[in-house]
Amino acid sequence: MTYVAITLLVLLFLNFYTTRTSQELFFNSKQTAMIERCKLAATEFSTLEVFSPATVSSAVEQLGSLRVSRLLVTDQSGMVIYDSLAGDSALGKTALLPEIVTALRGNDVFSGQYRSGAMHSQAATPIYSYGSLLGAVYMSEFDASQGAIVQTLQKNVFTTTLALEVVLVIFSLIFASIFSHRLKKIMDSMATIQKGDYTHRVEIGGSDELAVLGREFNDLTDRLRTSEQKRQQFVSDASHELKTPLASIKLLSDSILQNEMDMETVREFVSDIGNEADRLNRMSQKLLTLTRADNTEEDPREILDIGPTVERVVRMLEMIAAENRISVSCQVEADCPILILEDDLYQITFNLVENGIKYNNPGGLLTVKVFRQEDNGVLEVTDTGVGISEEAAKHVFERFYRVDKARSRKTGGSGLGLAIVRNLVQRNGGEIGVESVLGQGSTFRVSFPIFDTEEERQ
Amino acid sequence: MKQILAVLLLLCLLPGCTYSDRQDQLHFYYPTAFVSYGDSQGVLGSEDRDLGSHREDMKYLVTMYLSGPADKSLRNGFPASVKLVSCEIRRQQVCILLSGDLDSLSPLERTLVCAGLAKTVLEASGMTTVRIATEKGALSGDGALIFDNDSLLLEDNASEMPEEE
Repeated sequence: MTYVAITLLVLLFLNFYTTRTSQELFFNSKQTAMIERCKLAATEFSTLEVFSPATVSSAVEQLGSLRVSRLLVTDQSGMVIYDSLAGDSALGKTALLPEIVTALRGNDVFSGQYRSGAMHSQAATPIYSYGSLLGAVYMSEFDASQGAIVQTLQKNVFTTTLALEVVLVIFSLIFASIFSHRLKKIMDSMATIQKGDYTHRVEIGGSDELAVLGREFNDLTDRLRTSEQKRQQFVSDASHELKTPLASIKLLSDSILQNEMDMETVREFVSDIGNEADRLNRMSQKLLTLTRADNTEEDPREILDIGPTVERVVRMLEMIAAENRISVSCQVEADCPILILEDDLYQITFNLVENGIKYNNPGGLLTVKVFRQEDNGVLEVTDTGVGISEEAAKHVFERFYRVDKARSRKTGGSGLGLAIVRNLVQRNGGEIGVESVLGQGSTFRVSFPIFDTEEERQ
Repeated sequence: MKQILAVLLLLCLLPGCTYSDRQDQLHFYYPTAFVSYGDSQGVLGSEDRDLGSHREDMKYLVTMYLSGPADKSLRNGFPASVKLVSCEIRRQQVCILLSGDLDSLSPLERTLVCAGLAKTVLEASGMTTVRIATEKGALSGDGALIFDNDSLLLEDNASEMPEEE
């Protein structure tokens, strides 16, 4: 409606402007002609020896047809001494018309009005003789033919305006109807999605903004659906994983309460309860880490060399490796500055090295390498452990996935370590992969783009 | 309810008061401060004045007229020194004699200011003519200006006719 109102105002203004302009053009041409005629007559009268009704009348006859509706000649006080109008003559009256008054004050004047379909024009000029004011000449013109032209123009413009506006209104209504129908489809889809049906799709054709909105909406719905599925999966996995140690704790504590046992056995059971509690605690911590990694706003990353952090982690885990009779070799071959959060790099390295120790064979070897490969900085962790099957390798980075559940339980694994590593690697713009041969060992490779400064490039 | 009726009654009386006020008001015609073209006002404009009980008193009317208009769009063409000497009615003619002279005004201005006074007096008095003279100068004696209801051409209605061949 606003659009229709604005266009209507604009069209009306154009209508008015066109009419006024055409009237002004007509009057401009009239002004020049009428003033000229007045001056012609005034010049004629100014040469009269006696300025009287009779002499003026005679002079008018000599002038011939002036092509005006009325000619008035007054003396200097405004008294009419000649009126071309036969009937209803103003002879002898005092003509105080605005044009005559202005002329008797010494000025040429023209005025015009468009009225009742005709152009009304008036002009007046003073009559001087040897510098003295004798009187004034006044002429008026009533032009119906030009008035008719203006009137026709006005009508045509108005009709066109009206027709345009009607067309505009119709198109606006049609467009608004189509637009609101398509918008309603999207709104209805939103309502359906809100109820939880993430499989719903909105079908909006075309290539305009609404079509783009529809496509974006469908993308958003897909992401929502995926996210919801992951959430449900995660909740299901988490509750299952947490349930197991809880069930163990319950079973062990019930056994202690319900059965007569010697102290040694009780100690053993309590120790197991402690282990399960520890396992529960580790799992909770890792869940929290994973959740924080998912939800935290990105902290500002810094340019960091991979080597020193990796060496620090290896030094820290060397003791655990030694306890499991695993030999650790750390080879940092080159500077590898990357853009990363230090805590993330630490966590990634720690989880990979810890896994390499946990899933290694006693007396085995764990090799940690840092090197450059083309434009990437690479962290490679290779163990001589049990290896991962090709099938299992596809799922090894999923949450709660464990290749060997029994071994994981024994080593206190939660199935979240590699999921955390992958999340952190991706968050920092890197890539992770695994190569493994069953029974021979696995190599985990993490790569990040090198971030050389200008100086280093030079 | 009574209060509402009282208010309604008061409102009904109001137009009556206004109407009686308007009946006591007269049009006072003066030359306009600025000439306008194309409308019926022309060179003489008017303002309404309430003369109260002096409505029939021509001397009072002319004296009031000479004091000038209150409306800023009008002007008093008479010099401040001009005063009313006498105002008499003789055979349907109002004879106004003014002190001093109007020779400082141009013939047009003399006609204009007298036309305004004449139109005012003609309308108020209902007489057929008004004679305006001064004690001395151009309007003294036979030079006096005489106006009747047909003396003035203030609007060119004849221009409604098509142009002559």
